[in-house]
Amino acid sequence: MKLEFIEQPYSLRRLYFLVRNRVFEDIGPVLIVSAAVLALNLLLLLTSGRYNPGSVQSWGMLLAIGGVFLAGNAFSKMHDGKAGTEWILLPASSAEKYSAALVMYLIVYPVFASLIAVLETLIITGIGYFIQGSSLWIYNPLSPIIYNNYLNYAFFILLAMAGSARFRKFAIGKTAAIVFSFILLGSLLLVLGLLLFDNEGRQILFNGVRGHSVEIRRTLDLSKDRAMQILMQIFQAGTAAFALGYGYALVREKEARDEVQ
Amino acid sequence: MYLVHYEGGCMLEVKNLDFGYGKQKLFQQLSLSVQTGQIVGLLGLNGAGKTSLLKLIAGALYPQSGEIILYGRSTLHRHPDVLADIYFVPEDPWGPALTPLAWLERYGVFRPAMNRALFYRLLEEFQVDKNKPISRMSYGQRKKCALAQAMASGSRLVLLDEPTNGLDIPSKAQFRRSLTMVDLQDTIFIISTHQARDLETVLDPILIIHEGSLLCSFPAAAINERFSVRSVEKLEGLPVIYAEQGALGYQALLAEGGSGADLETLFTAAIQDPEAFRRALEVESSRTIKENL
Repeated sequence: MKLEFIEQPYSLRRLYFLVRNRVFEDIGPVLIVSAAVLALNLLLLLTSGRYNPGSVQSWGMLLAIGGVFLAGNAFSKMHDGKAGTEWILLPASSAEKYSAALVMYLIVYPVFASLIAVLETLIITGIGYFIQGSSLWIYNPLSPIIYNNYLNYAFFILLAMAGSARFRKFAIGKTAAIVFSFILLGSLLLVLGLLLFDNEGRQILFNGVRGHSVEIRRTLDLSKDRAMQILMQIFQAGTAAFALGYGYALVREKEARDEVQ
Repeated sequence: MYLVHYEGGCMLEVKNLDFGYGKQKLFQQLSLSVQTGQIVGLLGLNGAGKTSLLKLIAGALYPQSGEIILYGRSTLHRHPDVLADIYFVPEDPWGPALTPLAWLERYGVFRPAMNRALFYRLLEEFQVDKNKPISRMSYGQRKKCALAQAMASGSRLVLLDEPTNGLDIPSKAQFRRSLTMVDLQDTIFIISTHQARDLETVLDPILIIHEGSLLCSFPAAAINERFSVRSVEKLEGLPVIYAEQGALGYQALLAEGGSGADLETLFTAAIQDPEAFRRALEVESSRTIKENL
């Protein structure tokens, strides 16, 4: 038996095979969506007199949504009655299986999807340039807005992967519902906090308001508040670390579907 | 319980296994051991937990307590090298949208001992089209493809759940023949089956699990040495373990050497009256020991 890599608890060779297999599995949907986007844009270009190819932000958002959707199905096979047992028993460690998904959706997909976006914008605006004489615009994946938002993308990827490891069906929808619930809860706590730190708010909270409603009108822009920014970063990093650990633990502890024969 | 003694150490050991689904206890303190080079027949009633036991041994399920040791290493930690040493074929195998050749490139690479030449030979033997996506194959074809994957995997523990279920009659013979193409010296096959007749010529030893534990374990040689089936009019005075009444008398399984018995009859006898079956094995076992002395 060739044991050079099978004996290693973590093997880069196995990681490569796992990532490669993920590429093979995901390339179909990515190419189909890319073709649809290209066709739609070409249709708009050829039928509309005032075609706008979009912006780096809009293309970046589209790619990010695609990545989150793929990551939301990262472990769907693991939950499948038939494929699940095969997935669990594939000779690779849980760490390799989880990190292969991380490599795929944090590195391989963004690079590959960005290249497709570059190619598509080149084709679309190139055709527009030759037919209509419109300006040439190419999606630039190295724009500051893209790499500044990469960590936000990574955050959502980790959430989607944890959701995919947790839920067997409708993982993306259920994960989105949980995230939305947390945002709602966070917002309520924020409002409660603001009321507690406000004289008028405390009056309302502790003395009650009878017979009529009270409006508090204040300009509130927390995005410029440094403390709030740090708090948000800590929250985001903590949630990402939790999602990473939680998702990995679920993959590690996954068992074949219950059945008594 | 009848004990089977073999030379050498145990290659697969299941020790004091407790397992259940929710409140339903399936195994309580289940222990068994298997030697290398054996094709073990695992028999049990529906719901006895044969599939669960195979999945536990493979590491796809975690027991509540107990140990499963394969060649000195626990299968419960799912180390890649231990996983590569095990191949489990479920009753209804997964059919990916890949041809057998593409499967080999995608998943065979995780098994360094995969014997590609044997895989191709087995596909030919089973008459499986290696260029057709597995997902488009019939149940029987898919099963034969999975069996070829397992037998060529180079894994030293091959777990087959109902391998002949869904196979046509020639394919069952092909499967039996294919077992001779594998180097059995270093391999353990554990085959769970309800189709005992399909495989009784290859299974040795036989394990019967019943009511959460190992009811008995005996070598195939014991079947002829210790049992016989006879048509008799009366049961009195005969060492009857189990009998079925017919129009002309009884078809009786007797605790005496001779013609042997088919596995289905033995299994039914063991399940109907476990104590009588065990006693028959023990009496004969102690008799053999005394004769040897």
